[in-house]
Amino acid sequence: MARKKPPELLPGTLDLMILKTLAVGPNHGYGIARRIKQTSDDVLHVEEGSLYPALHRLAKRGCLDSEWRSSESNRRAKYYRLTRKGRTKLKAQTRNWAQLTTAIDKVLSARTAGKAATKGWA
Amino acid sequence: MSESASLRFGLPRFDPRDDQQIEAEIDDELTFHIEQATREFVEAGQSDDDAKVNALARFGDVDQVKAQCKRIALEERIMLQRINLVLMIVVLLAVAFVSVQMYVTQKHNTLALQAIVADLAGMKVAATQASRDGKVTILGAVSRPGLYPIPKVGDYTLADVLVDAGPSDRAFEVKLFRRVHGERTLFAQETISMLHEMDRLKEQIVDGDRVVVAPVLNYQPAQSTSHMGFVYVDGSILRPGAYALQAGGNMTVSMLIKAAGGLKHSPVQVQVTRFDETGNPQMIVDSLINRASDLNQSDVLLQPDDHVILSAAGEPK
Repeated sequence: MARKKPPELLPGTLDLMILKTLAVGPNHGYGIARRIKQTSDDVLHVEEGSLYPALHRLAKRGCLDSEWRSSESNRRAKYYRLTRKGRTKLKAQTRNWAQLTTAIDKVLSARTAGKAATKGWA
Repeated sequence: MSESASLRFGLPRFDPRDDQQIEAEIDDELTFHIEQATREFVEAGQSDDDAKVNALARFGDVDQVKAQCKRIALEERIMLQRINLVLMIVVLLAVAFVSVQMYVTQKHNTLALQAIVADLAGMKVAATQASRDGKVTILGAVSRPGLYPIPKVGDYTLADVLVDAGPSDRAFEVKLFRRVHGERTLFAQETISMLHEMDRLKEQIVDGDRVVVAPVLNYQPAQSTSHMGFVYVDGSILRPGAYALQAGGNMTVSMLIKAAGGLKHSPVQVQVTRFDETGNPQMIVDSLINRASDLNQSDVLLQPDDHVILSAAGEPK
């Protein structure tokens, strides 16, 4: 199957995106997937199936609660909701993410200066 | 609540659903997703078949996702199974340990019980021996009349009492009186002409016995003239001196010691000297004894002119 592979996500990013999406309100897996796609302007092309193991793992850790409810289409769907623990985790991970990206930004912006220095030295 | 509890103990939350229920729910959830995606494509103007293909393509490997989800749902169960197994092993080991311990304890107790039973038996023996503890009275023609304690261990015969008291005559009559059913009766009576005949007096002495010794006057030994000669005894002995060896009397060293009134000390060194044809003295016995019966193999038959010397241990010979 020659299909263009979506860009690899950093580990833990999917969890963070799920938690953030559910911070708005309870949703089912399909809803979460669609929302991530919309908010990321289709840049993060998550293989939708990979969402479910992540959801189940978060539920198992107590970050999410799940409940079967009828959806807008009047079909039974499994809805996920953030727990208090999930909220705490979201906060912590958001902070970590910010720190990480700032740090990476710094490293990446320092790269040009490094190159210049190397040139000068050479 | 259960959440914080499971948090506190770090244990996974208990999932009451069984395997089939879990699998069915996963199926349901994923099917819903693919249905919704398909509908999205259909609403965008695709044919049903194209929409389905695209929805599946966007989803990824359904079976793999299913398997992953199932593993996540059941991992606690697998862990619980492992914990169960470990617990079972621990319990089995504990049971085995306790069993071994119980077995050892029981064995120990059995041994202790056996020891107690043995002790009790020993005490019983001691009690019977203690019951033999008592006194015997000896009166009449003896050197040391009086009350004699009956030793706790070993035999104590009429002959022993006589040896202790020392008859003062060569020939005497001995009467043993004993209380039988509360009445003092004549229990045994013997006439002893040769002291070594005392070996005949084998009656065991019991508490309260009374021994009366009377001299036999004008005693005419049947073969008084047929003695073979004399043996001599000296040293740590009550009545040292020369003793006649009767023909056919077969007197041994221990008999002589008894006839001479018994040992004065204990232990003593017994030395028997015999003179050979050329008149040279030969020491044929040299042994340390506590009492006459200790002689055993050294209890040789005496011949005329044998010398028996008894020296108390430590005394110059």
